[in-house]
Order: sequence, then C-alpha cells, then structure tokens
Amino acid sequence: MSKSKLVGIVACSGEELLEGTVSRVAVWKVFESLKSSSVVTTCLPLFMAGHKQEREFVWTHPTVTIEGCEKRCAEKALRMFGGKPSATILVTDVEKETGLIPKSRVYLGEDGEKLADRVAEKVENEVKILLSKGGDNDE
Amino acid sequence: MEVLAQEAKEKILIIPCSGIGKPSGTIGRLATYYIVEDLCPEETTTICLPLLVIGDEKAKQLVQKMRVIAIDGCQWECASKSIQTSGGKLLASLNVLRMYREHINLKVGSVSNLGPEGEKFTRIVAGKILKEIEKIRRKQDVQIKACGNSCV
Repeated sequence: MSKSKLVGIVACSGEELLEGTVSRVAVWKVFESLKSSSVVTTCLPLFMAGHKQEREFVWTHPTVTIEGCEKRCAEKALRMFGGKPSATILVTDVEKETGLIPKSRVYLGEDGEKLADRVAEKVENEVKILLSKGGDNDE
Repeated sequence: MEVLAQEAKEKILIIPCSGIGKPSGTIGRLATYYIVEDLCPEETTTICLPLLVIGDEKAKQLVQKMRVIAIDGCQWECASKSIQTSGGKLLASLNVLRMYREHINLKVGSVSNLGPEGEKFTRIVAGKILKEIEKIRRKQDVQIKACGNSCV
C-alpha cells in the first residue's frame, strides 16, 4: 500500500449537462484553493482508455469523484477497474441543497459559479480529511 | 430498447474529449458548444463522452445510429477511440492540438481561462467543425440527388 500523500479527484465532466461543466469548474477551484501538489486529477476518458498509470493510481490512492448526475459515470469508471471512490459529491444534490442553478454550459453565470464554489468546498473538505489520514487508500 | 426519433437520427452528434487537464480539452468543449448551441442547434447535438466510455447502452445506440464528429484534445484521441470502440459512425475526427500547430502565434491561456487569444482559437476550431458539417451536408445532398435520379 502506498504511503505517498496524494489524493485524486475525478470529475465526470459530462458535456451534455450543465452539471458536467460545474463538475470540471469545481475541480479547478479546488486546485486553485489548495495549491497543493498532494492533489491530482485525470481525464475520465483517458483513465478509461487504458492508461496504466491512471488506473494504478486509483488502486493505491484515495480518490474523490464529482458526478454531474445520478448516472455516476466517474464512480462507475473507477469501479470497472478495481478502484472505489473514497467520497463522491453529486452536483445535483448540491443544487437541491442550495437552490443554485447554472445558467448555461458555456457560462455558468453567478449562481452556477456559486454552485461550483459549494461543490469545490465539499470536495476540498473530503480531500483534507483524506490527506489527514495520510493519503492511503485503506478502504 | 428505446427507439430514436427520426429527427434525432438526422442530427449530427459532436463529441469532444472531456479533457480536464489541458486547455485543448476546454477548447474542444467550448467549440462544440458554439456549434450545438449557437451556430447549428437544429442539426447538431452532443452527448457525454463519459457515458459512452462506461458502456451506457443508450449512448452506444446514439453513436451507432447518428453521424458523429469527434473533437480530440490531445494525442490520446479518447473521443475518437471511444466512438470507434462503441461501433459508432465516426465521419470526422478533429484534433485540437494538431490544429494549434498552425496557430502557434496565438497565446492560449489556462485550462480554466483561455484568454482572448485562446477564445479566438476556439472560434477557429468551431470553424473547422462547421467545415466538416458542410462536407457531411454536401455528401448527403449528393446521396439524395443520386437516389432521386434513380427513382425517376
């Protein structure tokens, strides 16, 4: 088991949905906020396309997924290759909690940006918890 | 199995790569939105690539029945590969990085903020997608004409 202090974030990035854009913007916000080399991300399709490095990462390190919808593609992708998310944030749940709805897939608008902030906060909390445990995937 | 509406089948499906770590992923995605939302909303649409890569049956059915253009962000060509693996009707593949070689003078910003020149390049990519749509239209017109002639 890896002793490196690294946590992965995988966002669905779904193109069809507003929430897919929110998921990717949230990832960037987490990176901007944490400014930490302990957090990494990967393109979901690249992970699925069979890149060994990405797949091995999710076996050995905790990963937080951000899902745009109930189909939970990022989580399914991880599970398909023997990984399991340590935490999952569903954008639609945060939408329900906050009542914030993005304007469009291109420009999230004020509410969409706020929604991405809230999603990013939740992801950041999970990342901090996982890093405080040492970043090991002990599940 | 859900039957696709005729209207949906006639649309062209544009699928960008979903890349999150490189500006080219953002450029492909934004260029796709320019087409499907602003320039050709009546005849184009998009679906989530992640849905296709996890093997969602409805997504597979869509790429098999519709005409598809892939917009790849890097050399791994995840969008094209996923469409081909799903048995999709891939009519054209555009690669943002390859296109950028011809516009290297444009200073593209970051993945989350492309900047004015990055946005300019995005419009160039959208223009290339439009050209591919035009080629598909022309081919379709020829086929319709050929069919019309044989029926006369």
